Amino acid sequence: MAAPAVSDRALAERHRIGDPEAFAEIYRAYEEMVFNLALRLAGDRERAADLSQEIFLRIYRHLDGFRGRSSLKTWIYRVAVNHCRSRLRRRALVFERLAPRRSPGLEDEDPLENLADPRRSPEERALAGDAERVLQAALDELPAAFREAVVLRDVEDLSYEEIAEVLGVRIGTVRSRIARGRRRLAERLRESES
Amino acid sequence: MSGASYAIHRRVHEDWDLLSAFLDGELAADERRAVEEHLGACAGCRAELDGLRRVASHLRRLERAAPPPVLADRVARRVAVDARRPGLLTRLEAVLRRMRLESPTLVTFGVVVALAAIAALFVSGVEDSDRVRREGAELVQGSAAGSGPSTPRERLRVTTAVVHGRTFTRVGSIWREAHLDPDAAAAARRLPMDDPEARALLDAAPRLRDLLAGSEGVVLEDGAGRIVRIEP
Repeated sequence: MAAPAVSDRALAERHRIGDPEAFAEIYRAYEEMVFNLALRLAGDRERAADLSQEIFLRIYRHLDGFRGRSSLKTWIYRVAVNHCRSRLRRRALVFERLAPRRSPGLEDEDPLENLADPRRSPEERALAGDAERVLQAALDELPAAFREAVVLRDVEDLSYEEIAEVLGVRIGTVRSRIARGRRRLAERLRESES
Repeated sequence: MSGASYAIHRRVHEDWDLLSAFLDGELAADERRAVEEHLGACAGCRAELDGLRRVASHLRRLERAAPPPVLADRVARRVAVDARRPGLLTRLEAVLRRMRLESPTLVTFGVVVALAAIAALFVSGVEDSDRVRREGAELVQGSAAGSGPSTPRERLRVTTAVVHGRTFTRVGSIWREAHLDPDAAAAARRLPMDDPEARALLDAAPRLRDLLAGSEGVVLEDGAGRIVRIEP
């Protein structure tokens, strides 16, 4: 991962000395990233909004502890993943899943071919929404460790090195989690199409 | 096939991590060569690689969701609470620090004081919450009345959102598709959201409702290239 920008440390320092604009800048820069990460890890928008709010509060509270050993982006990913893991685990303990979610049956040969593309018509985009639900349901069924690794790689486009830094594990572990996660997803998608 | 070559093929065939990392270009040169060689000879692993590639490709095409417009308000309010209130732990630490300055014979007294302080913190916490609720309402009212960008809510306001693959820019209280000419957008045909035409657009792109929820309208180009403004 690239060396942390001086501006990252400067932002944290401005926050530490009480400049409210520093946190606002961080919020504007990372709101979309945090929300989408929470959405893919939690599986629904309402929950993702709650998680995002809590994550930004954690960032606000702990930003003055940011020392610039990683980039601010990596640090925020780490805060977000750890928070989602902790909250979702707690929820899973309270509300044990009764059964795996069933994906909606689609008529198409390959429902995933309908994923969103801005060049498509509104009707085509509606079909894409169904395809997205198939994929999200498959993601939801993954163990958290695999889901985190796959989402960081394939949705957030982080390198193995960056993911290792975010998750605090070795690169070999990242490689293994991504492979196992993708393999399970591939099996799940094959089932949904058969 | 030599013994060494067989061993490499066997390893690639059995270690699926290698295929996945191969897909990501995350293998060392010797591993990459071994995988390429094996793929040339093994239809099963080629099929497996195709399955992994398909998963990765579909995940990359997942649409980036626009955060709900109310999120910035919620964060601003919650942060405003935090800014006014030192954490419980900080206050406990302060109490304990004060206790340690007392002589040992006063420790019991110190404990009583600490317990009283904790009780007081809870009471003040309730007061803080009430105050925050009041101030939260003021924030919303202030924004609705068009107060300047110095409020926490205004500072956090996001001005760009990607919904169903289209980029929207917030202009005042309106979300406008980014590529549209401002004059053309101003002349857009207005559609209440319960109008059949508006409903068809919203059914096709349900996340536009998120933008509508926090604004006075969304201006976009429909499938026929007409510019319309959907209003809540």
